[in-house]
Amino acid sequence: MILRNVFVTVLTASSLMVPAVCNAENTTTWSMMNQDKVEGWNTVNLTTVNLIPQGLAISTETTGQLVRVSKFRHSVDKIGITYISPAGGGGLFFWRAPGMAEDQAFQIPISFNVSTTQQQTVLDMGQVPEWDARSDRIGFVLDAGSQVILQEITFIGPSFADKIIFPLKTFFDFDQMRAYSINFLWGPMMTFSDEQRAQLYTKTPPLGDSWNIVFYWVLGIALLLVLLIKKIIRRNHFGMFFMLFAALWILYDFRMGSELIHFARTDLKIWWSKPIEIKDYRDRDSFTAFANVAQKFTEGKENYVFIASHGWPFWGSMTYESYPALPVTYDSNTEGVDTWIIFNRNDITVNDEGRLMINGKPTSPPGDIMMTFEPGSFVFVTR
Amino acid sequence: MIYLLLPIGLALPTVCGWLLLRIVEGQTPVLFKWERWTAGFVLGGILTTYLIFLTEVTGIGSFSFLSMFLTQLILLMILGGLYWKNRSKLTDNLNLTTDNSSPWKFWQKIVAATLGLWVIAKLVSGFILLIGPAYFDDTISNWNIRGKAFYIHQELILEIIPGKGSGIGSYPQAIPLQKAWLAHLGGWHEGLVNSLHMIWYLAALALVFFALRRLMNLRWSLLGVYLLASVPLYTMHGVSAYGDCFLSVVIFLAVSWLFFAARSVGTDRMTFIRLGAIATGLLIYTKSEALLLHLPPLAVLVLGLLILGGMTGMQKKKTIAWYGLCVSSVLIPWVLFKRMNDLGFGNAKNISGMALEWHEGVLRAIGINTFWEGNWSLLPILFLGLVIAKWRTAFRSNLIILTGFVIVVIVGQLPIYMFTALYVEALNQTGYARGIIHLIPVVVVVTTVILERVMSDE
Repeated sequence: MILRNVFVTVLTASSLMVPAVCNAENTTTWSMMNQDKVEGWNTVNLTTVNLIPQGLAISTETTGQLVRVSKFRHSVDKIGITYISPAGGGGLFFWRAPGMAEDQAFQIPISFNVSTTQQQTVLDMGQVPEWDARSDRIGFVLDAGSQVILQEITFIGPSFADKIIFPLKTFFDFDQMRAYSINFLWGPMMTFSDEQRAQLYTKTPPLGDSWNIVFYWVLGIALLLVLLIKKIIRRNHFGMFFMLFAALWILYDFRMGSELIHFARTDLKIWWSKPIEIKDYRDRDSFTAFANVAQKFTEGKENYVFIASHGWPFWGSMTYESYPALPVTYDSNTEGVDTWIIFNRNDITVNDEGRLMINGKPTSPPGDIMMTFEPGSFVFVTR
Repeated sequence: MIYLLLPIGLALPTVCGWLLLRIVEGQTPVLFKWERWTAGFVLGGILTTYLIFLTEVTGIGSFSFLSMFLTQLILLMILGGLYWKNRSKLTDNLNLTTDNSSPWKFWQKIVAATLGLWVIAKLVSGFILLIGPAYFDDTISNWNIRGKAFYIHQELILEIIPGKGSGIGSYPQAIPLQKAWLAHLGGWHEGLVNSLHMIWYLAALALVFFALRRLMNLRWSLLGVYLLASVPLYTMHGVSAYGDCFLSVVIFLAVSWLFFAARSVGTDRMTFIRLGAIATGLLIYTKSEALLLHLPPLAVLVLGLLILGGMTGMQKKKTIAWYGLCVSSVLIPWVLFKRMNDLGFGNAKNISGMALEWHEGVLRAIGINTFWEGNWSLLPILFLGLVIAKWRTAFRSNLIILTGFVIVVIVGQLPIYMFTALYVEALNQTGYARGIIHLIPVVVVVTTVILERVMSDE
């Protein structure tokens, strides 16, 4: 951790030395206001399209399309759309990413608020894994009935400094231990803004780029240099190349090993050091502690009814914890089954007759709650 | 305190494994002292559980404590008797070669100590992860629940959940039975039954070290161990209750001993052949895919050694006999058992009867898993780069046994993912990486050997 802190501090300190001018964001603006003509746009099936001083006025009775060739020289993580829409409208914002077929595109929904004054919608493309600033077509599909004056579209990308500082900061941002961690580990990731960094592991795949590309570039350039030096001045520097490789390997190991240690520290912090009532386990929250306690009520029994907010992973885990007692669903044959284990179902209550009410219907024979673990999680035994 | 039962539980299978290897080595020991103990632990665990399985299915024994104990005890007595009978010829040990290279420089000592401490820190963290409640899907639905079922019911149960079929029943029982044996000593305790996995991981590190030590000096051997210990997904499997790291150790023994047979001569060669044959036989009872993915390439490599290895007629006959005997004594009963119980062949899904069709996106998913995620660190480009740069060493020396095995298994897996319903395992990255886990110790040895050659040349 000390090494990690030193690493981050050095990086942050060095970032302060970057000239302020570098902090300017990369921006490309397509303005349609006060223009004699706008080039590059194509329309399909739109009823009327007029260029007026306020912008490109579009009104359509049918679903139509407005598309433009795009070629950005910088990455883009936000798109600002400035418009006036007296009658409102909506549709899709779409783009054709590199490698896609002519008739294919990715799309996200977009809506235009009803207003006679200027409005702006900001699309946070950093949260859209499919977004690619190298897309060669960008446009809108407008729903029938839409009326909108498009004034300006601004494509904003991270500044030069952000492009360096955020990836370095994110290098040591760790995932949590999850069910997929046995199959793959994302590895060091790059983000380019605070928002993107905060959201990094909230989606699968993460909202960032792999750091591996940097490792490959560094090694590729170094190898090329070594080969050139050998060919031109006949001096051998392969030893230095392998020293560089070793340094990068150790850095990578430090990153991934730190993640493993982070997993263990989390286990210690939220599972091993807590009393059973407030234990959490990885991304299963309180379920594991609940199952640990509830399975004692299944001992010596063949079956019990198990109801949880989700099937996976709770059903399998409960089956394992309680084995050889096996869970059955409440809508199967529950005759002779006296123990009902309920997890995270706040909607299930006990009525005046002492029966469990599931989806508003009395479902179990009369019984009593024998153990309440937390609201919505309890063990019910029939009389 | 419960963890004190671990060495007690491992003692019988380890001693059985050690005795087997020592007897098989005969008068020409080729294994280092601690290498034999490590390999004995790995193979002894499979051998004893295989015999326990045989006693159960033939009605002679069961999975009760007494029956499991007696089976191991009888095996120990038989092997011990054989050892005792031949003790005068079996006393030699191969000594670790002395390091003739230059003494360690100060910075090398600092780097080695730092990395050593770092690996220990990761192992401690891994142990904390391993002894927690069961978490991963296959731990819950396969490895541990089967062990729990064998421990509780004390008999072989193929359908763990009635009415859910015998899918996981088609897997060999080596891992669950070792867990059941430990549970008989201390009750079903997650930490106790799971700590086996970390011992297998440590065994992988140790066996890679000893294999490299046979080929190079201490520094390079330690470097190889460090490479293995810093492959992230392999470490994750080393500290998780899954069967793939265990399988990787047995594969490594089977392939590396064949490799050492190829580069040895005379009696040493035949000792490695006998050891390799035993590891190959027991490989079948380790995990399902060994039968389909790893046994055929091994058979081809043995055949290649017979044809191109410069063996005498007698050596060829003995090689065929040893491999034939060891493989058939596990393969035939195991396949018969599967047939009699209508158990499938395959891993996650039964591969028989699958329709063949092209599945898009598989190669891309494999590329992402291999090069763009954190699973393997920089090992893929290091391995590929070295194999390409030094292709003569990789393919035109004895190293082809190791390199060839890796490439044949990887290339052999690709059509399974590209053309069968198992493509989902690649697209979702649920199965593909495990196939690579099996090969990592072999990959690391190839990488270290070629790297050492490159650095020596330079």
